[in-house]
Amino acid sequence: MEVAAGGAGDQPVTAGGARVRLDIGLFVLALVLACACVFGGVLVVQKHRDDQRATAEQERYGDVLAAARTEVTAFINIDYRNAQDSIDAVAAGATGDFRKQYDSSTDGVVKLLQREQSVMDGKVLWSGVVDIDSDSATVLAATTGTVANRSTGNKQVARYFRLKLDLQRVGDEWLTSNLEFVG
Amino acid sequence: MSPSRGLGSRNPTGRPRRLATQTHPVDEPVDEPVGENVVEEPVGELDDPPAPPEPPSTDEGEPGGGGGRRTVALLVAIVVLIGIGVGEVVYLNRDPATAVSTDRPVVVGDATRGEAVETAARSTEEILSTNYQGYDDQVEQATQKMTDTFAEQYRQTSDGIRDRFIAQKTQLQVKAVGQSVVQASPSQVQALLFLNQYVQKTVDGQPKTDYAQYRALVTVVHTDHGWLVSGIDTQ
Repeated sequence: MEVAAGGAGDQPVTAGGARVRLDIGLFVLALVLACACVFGGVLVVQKHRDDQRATAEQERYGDVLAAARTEVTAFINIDYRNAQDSIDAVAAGATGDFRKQYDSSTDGVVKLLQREQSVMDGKVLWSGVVDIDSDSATVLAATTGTVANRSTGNKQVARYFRLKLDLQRVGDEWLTSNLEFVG
Repeated sequence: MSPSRGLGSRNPTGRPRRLATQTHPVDEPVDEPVGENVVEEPVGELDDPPAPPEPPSTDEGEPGGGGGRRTVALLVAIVVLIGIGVGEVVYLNRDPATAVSTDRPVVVGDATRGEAVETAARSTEEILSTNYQGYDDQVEQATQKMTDTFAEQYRQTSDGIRDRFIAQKTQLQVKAVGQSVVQASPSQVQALLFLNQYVQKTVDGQPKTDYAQYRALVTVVHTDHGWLVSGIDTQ
């Protein structure tokens, strides 16, 4: 066995023994680091899942507001000369009882629009989410625009609406199940 | 005498084939009789020293040997683990995206959103509800809910209507009947409010009441003093 010179105390130190002790130290360090990495990996996976969930929730706001704006835009842009198209546009974004109302009263609404020569146009000024979960949401929308019909002498009159919509997730779409004016 | 012996004896190498697989020491006496066909080589050849054994493991001590490789392997493993750890720390400390967009208008949690929208609604009610009695104090109190910049604008507006407001004994009450979030980031939230305004005042000696509905886009920003109103846009 190779023997190295000892230290000041004349204690003989074997090179092999020092190497073994070094390796043991490195092994322990590697073990500790490995445990830390495993723990960190668990945290990383957890954070990744949290981030994914947060992203999905944030994108849900965008999807809901986009659907609400589309529906409100259809609702406040009606022309008696294309009454059926106007109504179909609203019905396309509707579901549940709200859809049934449009389906069941289409003929009456068309006749009413034509008789009154109603023309409404406008846009969504602001819209915001009141409440939201994975399959339902409530949205407020403020609109600006004009309306012209027989009662206004077919002159455009400014008309602002405060609307509240209930939306439901149907498949991959958000559809409006209720729309009401807020007094 | 077996035939193999005979074949072995004709091995061109001149070495008995059996020696190649024997398990007993070569210098052990062989029980079988040694015939002239069995061993043709000189006896001295059997006394050749056996092949040297595999050198013992040099794990302990010799630099560059197995021990050196093990140390290097451990060092490499440690470096790799440190790298992984640093990557994990960087990932864990990475801030989530906080920029609002059309696709992601709200990038805060429910608690932050709810607190900000609630603050926007209550602060707006307090700012817009004013009574001719103690008008100046109310204005000053309302500015506590605002950022400095917006407070300055509000004071200018309030000063401009002060005399008529007091002369008409105006009482203005505003109630938020609807509140929602339009956009929200950790530092700024925009809330859409539906406001109902009730007005009582005296015009030409006659009491007069009025009622109005309108909408407001209220912006609140997060400060050390909580959420403060930085803008109210009404239509």
